[in-house]
Amino acid sequence: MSYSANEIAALAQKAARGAGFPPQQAQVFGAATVQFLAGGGEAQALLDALADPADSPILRLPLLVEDIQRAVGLAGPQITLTLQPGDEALAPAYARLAAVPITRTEVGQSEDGLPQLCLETDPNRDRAAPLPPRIEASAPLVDHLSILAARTYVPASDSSRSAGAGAGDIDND
Amino acid sequence: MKDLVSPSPRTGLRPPSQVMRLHRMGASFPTRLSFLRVLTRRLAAEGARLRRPVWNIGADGYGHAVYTIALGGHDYSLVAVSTHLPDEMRTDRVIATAWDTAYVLYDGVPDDDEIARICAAAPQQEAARYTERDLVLSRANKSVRLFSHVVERLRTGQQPDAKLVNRVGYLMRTTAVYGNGKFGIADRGLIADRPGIEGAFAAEMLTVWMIRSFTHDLVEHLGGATLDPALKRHLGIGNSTGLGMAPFLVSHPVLLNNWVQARETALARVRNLPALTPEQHARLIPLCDRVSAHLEEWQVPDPHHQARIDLVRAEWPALRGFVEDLPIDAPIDALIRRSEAYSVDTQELCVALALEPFGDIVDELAAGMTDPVGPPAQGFDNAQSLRRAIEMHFDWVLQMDFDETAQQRRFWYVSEEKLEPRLGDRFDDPGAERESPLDIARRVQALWRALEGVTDLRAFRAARPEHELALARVACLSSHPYAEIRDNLIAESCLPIDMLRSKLAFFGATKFDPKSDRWTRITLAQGAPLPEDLGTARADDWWLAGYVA
Repeated sequence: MSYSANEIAALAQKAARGAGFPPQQAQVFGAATVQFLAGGGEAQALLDALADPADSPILRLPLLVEDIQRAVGLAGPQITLTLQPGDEALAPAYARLAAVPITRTEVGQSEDGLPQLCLETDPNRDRAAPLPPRIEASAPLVDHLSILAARTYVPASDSSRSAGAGAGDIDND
Repeated sequence: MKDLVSPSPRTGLRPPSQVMRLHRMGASFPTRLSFLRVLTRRLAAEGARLRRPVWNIGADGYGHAVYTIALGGHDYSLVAVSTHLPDEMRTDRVIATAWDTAYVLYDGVPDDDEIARICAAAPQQEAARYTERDLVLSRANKSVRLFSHVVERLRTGQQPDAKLVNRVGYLMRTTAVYGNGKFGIADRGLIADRPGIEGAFAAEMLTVWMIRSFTHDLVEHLGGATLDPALKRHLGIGNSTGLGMAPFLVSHPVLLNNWVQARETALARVRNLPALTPEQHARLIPLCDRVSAHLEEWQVPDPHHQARIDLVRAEWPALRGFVEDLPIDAPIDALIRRSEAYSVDTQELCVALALEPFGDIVDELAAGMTDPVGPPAQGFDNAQSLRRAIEMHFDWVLQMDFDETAQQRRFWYVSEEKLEPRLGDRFDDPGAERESPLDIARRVQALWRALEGVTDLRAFRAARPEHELALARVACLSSHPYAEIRDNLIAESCLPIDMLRSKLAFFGATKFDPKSDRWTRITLAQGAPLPEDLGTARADDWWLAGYVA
């Protein structure tokens, strides 16, 4: 099924919060999920990332985005960054969140066996490639994200309904 | 003239410590930079013409209609669907499941299949799915007392009672106007570069303005007669707004900064005018009188808010007198300084007045009221520079005592009941562990405390990921001075209504009518140009416009 980018970003953000991740990392994960799915990524990598809020690329990769921005400024249009094992699936999607126009991403391995992210940027472009108008997401992924997102919702109650919003129920005036 | 009006050195921008306090934000008025005003100015400049290619509304008032307008080289169509709504289901709240009318702003001109699709989906609102051709989704309920009155009067060959038209101000009020990808509609990014609707909430404002025309046409259809244009012009479109609008201002700090900075830059420009031409001075006097008439028209049931309006009414004649006899040197600056002797409401009304005659140096600032690039990356080299940035830009949070119950009484949350945003009491209501992260002040103070003695910022960030939101806010405020509301949004004393009014004023709302500290009705487009006004001088001269018989 297809969704708007904002729908996917908002759902993934709430799912990450529901899974126990801090709000800023959850927000970045939402944006990265859009990039990941737009690039044809497999849903399992997203589910794996959401599994453990104490040890996850969702915590580590936002710092990678900053590293990319610094590295491009210092080292030029082609850079290679070393990743933590387990981060390679989502790293290209996070890389595209950096405020630099990335033209190619490739995940490889260093001589000592650590994963690496190789990037090419085009200094003549001033913005990233636009997103497609729709993002495809599988029903199992959306269902899983929705279950996690629901953990951020407060259960309904009469008192919440009457006092929480500060409004009446009927408006026939 | 533009060469003469740089914002410095005589008068700079008002500081965030003054402008970004909730009580002042809650006294905001619309200006010529408000989004609906910017839109109608653009429509007028293009000579846009609203057409109604489809009117399939029955004698009972139910059916659908399509309106189309060309703007910036693109066609946009409003598909309006009117259905029967039992009185017991008419609620303005998010938890509603049915409405009198439903709308989609469509990208282009819909064919019959697309109209049929929208007519099936739009009445379901959030329960249906939409496509990237659907730009905005909205719904509106009748103001029952005025809608019925207008129809009955028209049916008997009379015009509606002008006093009742004024007291209510609209035939219908929208209860949601969804954009930017909600429920599958188009992401804003898909239309963000389009001339005419590239501005903040421009597509939403276009929708609202077109809905207003539909409400006019619907009563004329049911009443079998035409409304007097003056009365029709005074029939805006209502809106009922609750807590859902408030978190937006917190979650979009760059956008908030850019809105406020544009207005404050405009104010600094007019304050720095060395003198007024006779024509400019002469323009201010009738605008002051328009304010007086507007204040007389503005009546609300809430006694506290009515008292605020009454105070502005009492203070305004003195300011009008000052305007009549403005000093020759830096007259607008003198006016703003004089207003500081009065209530905050009067001060902010005076700001809006001061911008009104000076479109030539103000209007261009509307182009900067978007956020094309997002928040800045954090650029702190070490923990000490981050801590110093907090002390410099967030000094106001360091004075707060979050051990006090009153300072953390509230928590913002999303109810599982149709995801309605709500506000709870942390010490009485369940659900605080699911709190939405609007507690920016508390988080930044916690970061500042946690940074004490830290030598390796990178290691700190990896080990303490819970502080990243606060760090991002510090980075943002360091370069966007108006990005933060400088109050504790979880304090017992926090009034969400102030946040609602601030945002609604940027939309162009008037006649704020608070129903509680977290819910308000407002009027949009009252006095705004009718479609046939777009080619006339009236098209950009409707700030606080009242009823003129």
